[in-house]
Amino acid sequence: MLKYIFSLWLASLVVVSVAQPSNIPQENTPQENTSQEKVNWTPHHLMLGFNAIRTGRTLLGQGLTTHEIQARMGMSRAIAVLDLGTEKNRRGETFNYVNSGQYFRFGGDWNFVKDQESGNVLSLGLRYARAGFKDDLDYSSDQGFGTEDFEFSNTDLNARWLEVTLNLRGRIISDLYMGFTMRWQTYRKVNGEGILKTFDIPGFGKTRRDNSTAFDYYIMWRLPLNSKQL
Amino acid sequence: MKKLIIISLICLFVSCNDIENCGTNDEQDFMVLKFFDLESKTSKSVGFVISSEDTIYSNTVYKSDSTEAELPLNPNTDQTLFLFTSDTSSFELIMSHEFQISIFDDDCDPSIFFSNLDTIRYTFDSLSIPGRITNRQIATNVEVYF
Repeated sequence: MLKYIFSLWLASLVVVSVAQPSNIPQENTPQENTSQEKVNWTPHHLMLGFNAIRTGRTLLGQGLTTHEIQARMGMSRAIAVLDLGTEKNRRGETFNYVNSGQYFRFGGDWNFVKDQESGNVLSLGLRYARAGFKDDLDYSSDQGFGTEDFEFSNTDLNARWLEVTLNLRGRIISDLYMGFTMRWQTYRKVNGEGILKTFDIPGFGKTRRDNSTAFDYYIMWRLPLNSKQL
Repeated sequence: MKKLIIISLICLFVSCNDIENCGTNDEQDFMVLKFFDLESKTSKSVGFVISSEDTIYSNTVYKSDSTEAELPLNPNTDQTLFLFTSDTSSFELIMSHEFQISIFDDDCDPSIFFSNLDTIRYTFDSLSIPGRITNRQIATNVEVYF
């Protein structure tokens, strides 16, 4: 179902994008005076960066080891986005819960900043995300039959969800950009659970809610691909 | 757009500050069994000594003037045997069940809860199972009539 929603969204994005009149100055060509100018979908820049909040939390310790990289490719005012991440989370004082795995997100943004030369971004986007992970719980308890040790694990978990994002990236200096992404995560589904109900999903957070929000801060470097296209 | 960003940041800050109280977890690791008189169908106060396998429970399992009892189920097996004995009578009840374990919050102990409660054998005159999962929102799991 989700892949159909995502496909529909991509299709509508393309339709809307094609319908937008371009404000970008073009070279003198015979098409210059036509009422509808063609949008140039040639990628004009690639941004590569990392999630500073995740790296920061890893450096602070507290049982969490996580890293995430992001690639953004600008094509006119549409941006293709790919996130790749890894996460290992240890929780509990009276118990030992370990959750580890990898995740990816991909999708697209629509940039509301018309000046593509600047590389600045204020965009809304949609992401499809998947995670593959495992978890393990070890603890002791008296369930009315004497104190016993319990150990439960899920070795082949996977999850998928959908995100609506608000993104901001601003040029700091030269081709260095910084900015945040706010996420509203929904349509979460987990497969592969056994007796142990998983508590975390890498890239999503706690499973207690079906919907969640997240805030990430990115530091990125811009690589112009074809400045003539701008 | 600036207002939208500020409102979004406030909403995000509020949503990130959820502190869970362990007492609000509805999952529970015992079943609630209520005793009824077979003829009048009214609650019945009892004085059974309740045991399960090698464990004899104290009277603390009784609630509501001994008309109901909170009985632990064994997660190491898929069934639990209960014996109810008094000077004048004795009954047996074997419950089958499945269980899951979850973590409600970092600061709370993991919680076990049972589902698909059913009977394998019972010697009460009659029995019904109005609640097949162990949850605080379900007042009664098993009703026995004798």
